[in-house]
Order: sequence, then C-alpha cells, then structure tokens
Amino acid sequence: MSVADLHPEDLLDREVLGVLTASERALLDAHLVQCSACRFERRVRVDFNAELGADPSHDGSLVRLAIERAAQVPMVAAPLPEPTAEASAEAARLPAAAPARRTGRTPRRAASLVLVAATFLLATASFAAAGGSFTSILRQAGLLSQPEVEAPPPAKTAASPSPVARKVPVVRERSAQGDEVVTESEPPRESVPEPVLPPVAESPVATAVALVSSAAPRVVAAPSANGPRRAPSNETHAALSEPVKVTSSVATPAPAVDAAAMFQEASVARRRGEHARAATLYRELGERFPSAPEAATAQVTFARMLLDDGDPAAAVPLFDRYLARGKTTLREEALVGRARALSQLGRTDGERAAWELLKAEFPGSLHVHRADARLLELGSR
Amino acid sequence: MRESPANPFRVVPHPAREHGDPPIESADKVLARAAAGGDVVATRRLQRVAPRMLRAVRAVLGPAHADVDDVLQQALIGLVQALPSYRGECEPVHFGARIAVRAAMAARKRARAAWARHDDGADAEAVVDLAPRPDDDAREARRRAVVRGLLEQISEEQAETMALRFMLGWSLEDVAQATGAPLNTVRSRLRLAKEALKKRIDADAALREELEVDP
Repeated sequence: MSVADLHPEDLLDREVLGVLTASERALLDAHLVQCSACRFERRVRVDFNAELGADPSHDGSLVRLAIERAAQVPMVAAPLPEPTAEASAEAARLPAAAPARRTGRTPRRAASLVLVAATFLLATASFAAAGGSFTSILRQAGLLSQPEVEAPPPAKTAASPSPVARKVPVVRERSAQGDEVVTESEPPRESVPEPVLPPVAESPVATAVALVSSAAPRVVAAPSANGPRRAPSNETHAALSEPVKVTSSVATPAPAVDAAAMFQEASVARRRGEHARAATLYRELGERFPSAPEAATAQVTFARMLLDDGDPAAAVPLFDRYLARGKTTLREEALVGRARALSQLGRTDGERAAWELLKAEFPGSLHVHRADARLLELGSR
Repeated sequence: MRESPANPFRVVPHPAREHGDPPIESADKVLARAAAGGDVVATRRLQRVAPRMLRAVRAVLGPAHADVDDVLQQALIGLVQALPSYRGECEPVHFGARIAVRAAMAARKRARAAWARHDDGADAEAVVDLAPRPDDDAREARRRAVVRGLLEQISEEQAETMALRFMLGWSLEDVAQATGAPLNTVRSRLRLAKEALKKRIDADAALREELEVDP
C-alpha cells in the first residue's frame, strides 16, 4: 500500500475547519500531489456545496408537501411485516443499515415469529378438531419431548404434505449397557396421516400478517436499530401533518391504500406532463374518496396544475374548498395559489384580500415580498 | 487513541471526545428522543429535519431530478418508522440525512434499471445534462455526475460513506456516528471508494488533464 493509498481524511477535515498546522499542511499538500482522488474530492465538495447552496427553489413548499404526503401513507401499529414482493425487492437493494451486532429484532425475524405462532395455532386447531390432546399438540410443535413410543395421531383424510405437521415417531430403547438410545424411524406414508390444515389465509394470525404486509408502505431502511423495533403508532405518524387524520389500515385497509395509490398515480401523470390523465385521476380521487386525506391534498395540487395550465377559474373553487378546511398543512400554498388565480381572473378585490390574508397568517412566508409588490401595484390602481 | 505508525495522516482526536464528560445533548436530540418515545408534539417539531433531508436527496439525485419530492416523501416515512430505533447516537439531522441518502441511492438504482429496460444504451445522466452551460459549470456538472455515477458502481456501504462525505461534506466522525461504524471502517470504505474513483479518473482523459493542471 503506497502513501497515496492512505488518504489523509482527518487532514482534509481539518483543512475544511481551517485548523491545519504548517506541518499538517505540508503533509496534506504532499499527498495531494500524488493522489488524484483526494484532489478530486476537494474539488467536488465545493461543486456540491455550490449546487446545493445556490438552489433557490421553494424548499418550504416542497418539504411541506412531502410531509403531508408522507403522513397520508397508512401506518399500522404492528410489528414490521414480512415484506411484500415489491418491498422485498426494495429491501434487497437496501442492506441492513446497522451492523448486525447492534441490530435488534429485525422485521424478518419478527415476522418469522408471527408465522411460527400462526403455525402453532393452526396445528392447535387441527389437532383439536381431530380430537388430539393439548400435550400432543405441544409435542407436535416441538415444545415437549416425545413419549417413549408415540402413536400416530388419529387417522384423518389425507392432505398435502406439510413440513409443519410432519413428525417422526421416536422410539426410545435401552441398550445393553443401559444407555438410552433414541432412534427415529420414518413410518410408511399412510401410517402417519397429515392433519388437514385450512388454507393459510384463513388463519386469523396469518390473515393479520397478510393484511399488514399488503397495507405496509414501502419501507426505507432504518439507519440504526439498537434495540427492539417498534412500529410507529398511527398517532406518531399523523403528527407529521397535524390536520391529517390517519386511521389504522388494519381495520379498513382498502380505501386508504386505494386513495394513496390513486393520488400517487395522479402525481406521476402530472409530473410526466400527462395533465388530462392527472385531472381525471384527481377528480376520481375526490369522488371516490371524498374524506380521504389524499383528496384534500389533491385539491391543492390539482388546482396548481390547472392554474399553470391557464385555467384559473377552475382552480379557484378547489383552493376555496381546501382553505375551508382551516389550518391545514398546505394552507400557505393554497392562499398563494388562490391569489394568483384571482389575479389572472382580474378579480382585484379578491386578490388583494387573498394576499393580505397570506401576510396575516404567514408573515414569514417566502411569498410575502411577492404579496407586498402585488398589493403595492393593486393599491396604485 | 495512539497515532498509528502505518498511517501518518491519522490525527489524535480531541481528548474531550475520548475521555471527557458526557456530551451535552442538543435540542434536536432531546426532541428526537421524545419523538422516539411516542411524543406526538416532538414528532411534529422534528419536521425541521426535513430540509436537510431534502438537501441530501438533491445531492444524490441532482436538484432537477423528477423524483426528488417522491424520494423525500419516502425518506420522511422512513424517518418516522426508524424513530423508535433512534438512540441518540448522532444528531437527528444526520439521522434523517442518512435515511434520505439511502432512499435517494435506491431511487437512482431504480431509475437506472428503468432506463436500461426501456432504452438500451441510453444514459440518464447524459440526458439530464443536455442543457448548454458555460465551461466552468459544465466541468462542475461533470464532476458531480462522476460521483453520482460512482455511487451505483461501488458497494452500498462505500457509496453511502462517499455520499455523506463528498456530497454533504460530513467529517469522518460525523459519518462514523451516523452510520454506527468505527472510524477505521469509515476510512476503509472511503479508501475503497477512492480506488474506484481513481480508476474512473484514469479512464477519463479530460478529467485527468483537468486535475493535473490544478492539483
């Protein structure tokens, strides 16, 4: 390993802080002469800082919109689920964030425990139905040792082989020396009929697992897990956006998921410039899920789209309906949008009132300067 | 910590960091701890982490990327879901930014895969950078594109470390605290990432020349 391979990361940090001593500076400069990667790093740090620092976009609006949308994703107060096919693919791309030694119970492990519990309940139900005793159920689950010679369970109709219900009779014998010898024998297939198991989805536990899995949003890997993970409560999640009431998706998962999916689809269409399709989806969202939080957010995004497309008359009622909800997350954006729409319509009185309302409610808004300029202009007329 | 003879660049950390008093918790840390414990008001106030997360998303994807808002949303969901596991190992802004970086890196890979499926041979980065720019801007954009492109070619751990350091300008110690990795592991990840970077530089004559001119 050459000197150039040992990158002076600490010195680079100290250079950024402006605390390099003369000898450290000499050391760093000597390294930089040899190392193109470190030269590049110094340059590109400045490049990124310039790019991100110079970005004047309306971060506030974007952040608020993202928060509102994030708060609409249904959450479940349950252990993190076994991922769905899509989430599995996502998880495959996102490795476990924390080192294994620091990781608590992982979602997969938690789900495995739930599945074991489900299996146990299924076995319980099956054996109970077949007249099996509780002891035999425990043995079946591997929680009790086997008897000296265990008889096969009562005969039932054959079912598909199940690794859960399969068991091997254990025969305990005494050897000539008196030691216990345990032998396992695979009996003829027909002599060990399998319990008839209901379909997995019919089990309450399994149904709950499936429900949680299907309702869960795409999970971004947690950066650290030093203890047992708790799924965030709905209350906590809803706190990201005060006016949005998020209810448990376990009780009524379908409407929330559908509304979220529809909102997402409409947003994608809008960003792609497919505004006609986006408009259809926004309208359908409002009709099918009028009380869904997505429908409220859609009013603002749809109205802004209409405004940008030159249809302020259609945008105003949407802004009005959203603003009638009170102190909602996108209220500032809705007030600005409404003022812009009224301006385009030439309704000066309404526009003036809208800008004044914006200034009164959001004195620190990025749009105050615009409001002042516009009010000045309106006042001079 | 002693200075390693194998690495002349290693600097002895400040004594207070190694043996000193318990660190004073920042207001954000207190807030995040409360949020992790289920405090609704604290969770709401934790929104102030979001702009830093947005910055991280933009750094990895590029400010004009179409998926910035979607990825920020995913990252915010990830933040809320990860809060119960927050133990105050790092500042909440770093906690959130790290989630955002990971979400953005995953989004880049998805976007790259989608491009590959729909248009063989097309280069998403090249399309993004079609706009004419002054020379300096073009060079800056190219350097940033090199880093963004590298993120998909090295391991996730190296890419994350590189993103936090090159793009967000974090110190070694910040990266170590946020990722939960020992300092030497962070150094090792950076070394491997820089090896990949060197290969990339060596393969690009213009980039090499530019760096040679101004070391």
